[in-house]
Amino acid sequence: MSESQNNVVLSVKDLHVYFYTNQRCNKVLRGVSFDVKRGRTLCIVGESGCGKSVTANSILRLLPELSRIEEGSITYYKEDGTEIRLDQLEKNGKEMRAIRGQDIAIIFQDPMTALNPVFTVGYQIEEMLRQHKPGLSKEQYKKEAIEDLADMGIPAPDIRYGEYPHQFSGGMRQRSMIAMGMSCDPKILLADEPTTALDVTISAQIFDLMNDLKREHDTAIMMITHNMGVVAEMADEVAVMYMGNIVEYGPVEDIFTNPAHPYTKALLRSIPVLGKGKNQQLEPIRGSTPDPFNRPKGCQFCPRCDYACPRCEEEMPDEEWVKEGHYTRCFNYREVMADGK
Amino acid sequence: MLNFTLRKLIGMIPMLIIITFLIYWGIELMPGDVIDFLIPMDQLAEMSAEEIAAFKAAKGLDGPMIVRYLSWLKDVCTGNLGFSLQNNMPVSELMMQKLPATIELSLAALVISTVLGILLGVVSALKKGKIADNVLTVAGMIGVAIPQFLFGIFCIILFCLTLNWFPVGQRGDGGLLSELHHLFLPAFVLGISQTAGVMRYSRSSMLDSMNRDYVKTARAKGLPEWKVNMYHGFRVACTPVMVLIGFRLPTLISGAIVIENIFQWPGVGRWFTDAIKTQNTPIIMSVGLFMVLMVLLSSLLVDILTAVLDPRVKLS
Repeated sequence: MSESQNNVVLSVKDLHVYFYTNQRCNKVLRGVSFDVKRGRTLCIVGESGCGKSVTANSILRLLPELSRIEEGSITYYKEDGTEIRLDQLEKNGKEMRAIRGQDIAIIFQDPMTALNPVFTVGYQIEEMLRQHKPGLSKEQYKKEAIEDLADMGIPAPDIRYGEYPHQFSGGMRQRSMIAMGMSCDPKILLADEPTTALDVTISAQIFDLMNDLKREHDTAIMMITHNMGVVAEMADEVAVMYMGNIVEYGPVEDIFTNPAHPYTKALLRSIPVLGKGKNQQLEPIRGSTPDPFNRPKGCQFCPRCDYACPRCEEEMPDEEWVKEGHYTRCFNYREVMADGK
Repeated sequence: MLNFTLRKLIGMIPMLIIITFLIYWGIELMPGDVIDFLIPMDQLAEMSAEEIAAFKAAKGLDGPMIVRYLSWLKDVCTGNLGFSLQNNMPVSELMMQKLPATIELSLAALVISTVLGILLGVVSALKKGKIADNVLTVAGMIGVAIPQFLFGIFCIILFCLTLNWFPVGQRGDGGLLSELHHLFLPAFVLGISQTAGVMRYSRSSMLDSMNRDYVKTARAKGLPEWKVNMYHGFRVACTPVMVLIGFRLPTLISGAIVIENIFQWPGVGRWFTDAIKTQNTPIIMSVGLFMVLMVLLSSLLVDILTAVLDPRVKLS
């Protein structure tokens, strides 16, 4: 990519991930490329099942057993300049484990189930510290864990430290998850739909918290969401995914003002806008997502696309650069962009 | 906790009364007359109806059932379990002779089934779909399906009669080595038959736990696999397994009835079946009472255990 490399902390190139179930192969990721940059937020949007979470899980090698990275590379650029090919590390091996939590942390979708119900929240944070900062005394671990909780705006952290997850509210649990994720000052924070299970006011608080972290620690954030509103608020860069491909990637302003892929355009048209009243026309995307085992031959979006041409039915378009830092996978992107909004 | 335990214990009293009454009624409904077992046939034929009635009255076998039950209940409350109809020995004394053998056998079997069951279940879950899992699954199915008495007899034929490794039945004669030598086979048979269930349950419980999000969180922390499996996977999985084992404590005693008979083990179980065969009411009632108590206490133990193991559960 043409962007200067020195700010890139994580680079995913042409990633293919296949799942094997019942002797069938589901090609979940079919060539995904993006960069995650220091102090920036990359949002990955797309509907359920398009491969967003799989992308995040492949980075940390947390994929289920019957799946494999078939092609492509995931490169992590350490601060000292060394490059680590995450896709080549042993799945639960020592090197991979050293990176998990320490360099790259992940927050999951549902804070209700992501914390272990039988351990105290304090213990679960300490577990992370003990793994990556060995040799501290018991009191030091406790002190750090309480500080982490306090940093996330949890009131009375010294009492909360000894409580169990079921005594926490959803927002508090997600804060604890972030506290856990941030406890070792990771360079990259992967957030897999971190607020889907929370209500709107709590979501806003969580986003503020993440933005603060980005500013203060220069953390790179890769956030997965299906909510375009969240994208508008949080993202610096956006990657729009559809059926295992990134169909459009670019700076947030470009994506919103001048989308170059019919899918992005359709997505934007389907969002209700606050204040437009009940007369506004919401335009759902016609048709439904194809069966992953019975995919269209060419462009995956072709059967639902208004701009489809005979060529679209035959082959999947490659990544076409619209301008620097903005690419799309569409043969007719000029037409799409010229069409206005 | 203390409050909860006390309330539960008090709540057991009506249940004990109802269940013991039902057992008493059950004995009453058994065909045949107890007198047939107490007096030899030829003597009985010579006795007049009055003599028989007098004999029954002396033994406290006459009168309506409810009166006899209440008098039994009164005796039990004062700590008197009655006297064996056969030899007039106090039941409590006989019980004290028999109980250690049964407890010894049951505890040994419990240890075998718990340790082996959980261990194999966890291994099976972690090796899901691999050869080890398949072998254990088939073994588990056989273990669940095979009746205890058949397995017991098979073991006696193989290990005692053919290979001569173990003595056939009876307890040892005091020395620890001899005790263990005698104990091993019956405890093994009783334990193995329980192991299969514990193993299957541990496996599914462990699989369920390993599929939860917190296991993924644990992996994402960079914890080594054994910590992920044991601290996060197993720690949560062990609660339902403990509950299962708790509820099975009573079956260990009832299971022991079969094993004790096969292995000539001088415990409560064999004594109990002998008592039933001769309609020896005081003994049947005492053992019945003991088993009911075991069931109720086990369920209390399960409640407490769950609260200890799972912080989400509050006793109230």
